Amino acid sequence: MGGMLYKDFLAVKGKKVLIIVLVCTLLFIALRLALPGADMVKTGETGEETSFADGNMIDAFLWTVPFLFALAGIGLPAVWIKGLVAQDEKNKIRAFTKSLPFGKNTYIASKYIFLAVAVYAAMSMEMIWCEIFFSRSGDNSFTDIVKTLQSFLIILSSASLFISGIELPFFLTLGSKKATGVKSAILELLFLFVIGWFFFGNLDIFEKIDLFNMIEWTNTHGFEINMMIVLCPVIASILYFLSYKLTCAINRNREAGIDE
Amino acid sequence: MNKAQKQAETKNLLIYLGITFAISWAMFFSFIMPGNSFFDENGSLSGIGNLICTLGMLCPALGVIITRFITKEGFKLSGEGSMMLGIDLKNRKYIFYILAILLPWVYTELGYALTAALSPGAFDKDFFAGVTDDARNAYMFPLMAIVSGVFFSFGGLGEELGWRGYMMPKLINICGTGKAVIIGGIIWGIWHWPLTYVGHNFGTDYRGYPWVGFAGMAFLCVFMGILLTFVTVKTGSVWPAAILHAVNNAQPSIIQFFINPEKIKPPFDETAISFLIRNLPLTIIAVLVFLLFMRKKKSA
Repeated sequence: MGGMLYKDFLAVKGKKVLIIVLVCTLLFIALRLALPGADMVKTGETGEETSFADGNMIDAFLWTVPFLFALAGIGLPAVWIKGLVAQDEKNKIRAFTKSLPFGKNTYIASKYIFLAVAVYAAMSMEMIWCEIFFSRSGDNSFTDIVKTLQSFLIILSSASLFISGIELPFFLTLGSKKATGVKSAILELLFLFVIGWFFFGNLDIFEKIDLFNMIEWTNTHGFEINMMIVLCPVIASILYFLSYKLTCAINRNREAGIDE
Repeated sequence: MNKAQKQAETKNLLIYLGITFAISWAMFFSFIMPGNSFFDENGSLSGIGNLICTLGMLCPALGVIITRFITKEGFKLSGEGSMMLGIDLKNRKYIFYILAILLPWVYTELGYALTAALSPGAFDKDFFAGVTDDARNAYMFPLMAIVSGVFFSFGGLGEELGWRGYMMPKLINICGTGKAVIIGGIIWGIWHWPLTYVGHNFGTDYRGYPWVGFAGMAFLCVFMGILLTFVTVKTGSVWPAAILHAVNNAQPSIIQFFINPEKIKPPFDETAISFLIRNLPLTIIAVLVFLLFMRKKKSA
């Protein structure tokens, strides 16, 4: 199993990714320590009005780093699935593992474990990047945004695990070409639905969407967020395990042409 | 294990300790020397203090990677002489994972219950209001601490890869389980001392500062180390130890939200005494586990 995981690690150019992430982390630490943030400047007669970027332009610049890293970290495992399966098909790895003294589900298990480890590593790195941001951030709206992001990190990572759990059965059963076709078709349908909704739907709801209202909501709905923090990863983990079992069941009798 | 093997193990262990202490303490002292405060104006852990703790917890893992590279021990994931990163739930090993998740809740809750029993006046059913605006959050907290402990266990994993995954197997080979858990615990406690000095765990405003804090940390690490070593040896993996460590750090307890520290009566308000009381259940459980562990070792 260790060898299979290492193979996948090399297939996604893991060493390169690791070095880039480490260098970026060191750079981010250096930037953060060199450039401390500032507290929000209260303006207006009552001192209640605040400017979005008053006195904290450095935080305005740096908050994007953990935010973008979080987005990349969540999307990356789903992006890797196609590459991993396609590379295995090219090298006929699946048929090769059948000839080795491995358990019949080892190949499938290795893919599930690899992606779970990837989600865990991405989530951990995101947490570290948030901590780096907070180390010298001021008391301002950008710190609030990253705090909100941090509260939702476990929920976002659960979503990443959930998406991997949906994609893996398709890719491991249908093969990378067909599964990519199915995935593209679903995404295109969704895209068409969204475009259709933009033309004919009720767009008034966008007027109610406000980032600061969302932050306010997270500040006043601690219990609901805590509930999600507890339930989302548990549910996502159960579904991921069920997805693994389902993939094993579907692929139980696959032998000939397994890499096609 | 023959003498030459023991010498080789000792040499590798010393390399690991030298590297880990050098990296971690260099970082800790670079934070302490310029006079940075570990706490913010509200008395909670400052942003920079939190970052130092997070990065510090990853240093033992970095120490293992560098040591294994130098000593050419390899980076095997599981099995004999490995990094102990494999997960095997067969042969009822899953019990130790459940134990790692739930045990910190049990002893933390008992510790706070004992504090409340010894200072009944400190138990205040409305105290939670100063900590959280919703009582449901207080009741929910242990579950949240457990879930975030399990999913954000990277800090615990960073430490456990080094202390339980590398140091303890070597110490056990060199001097046997009994001595190893005590020596290993003390080494682990000493590693924390720079942070203890700036107020981590105990603050700085207590009688006998910083020596009582140093002793307290070594004491806690010996007993905590027993539990962590036990689950590591039983499963052959550092994961349950990482989870136990992370959940323990999250302090899963409901009763803590109902204890007003300012109303704890003397002498129980003394840092050293309150620390001992809070950790008494952990100590008792650790001693029982240690006896069980030693008895099984003897019979084996």
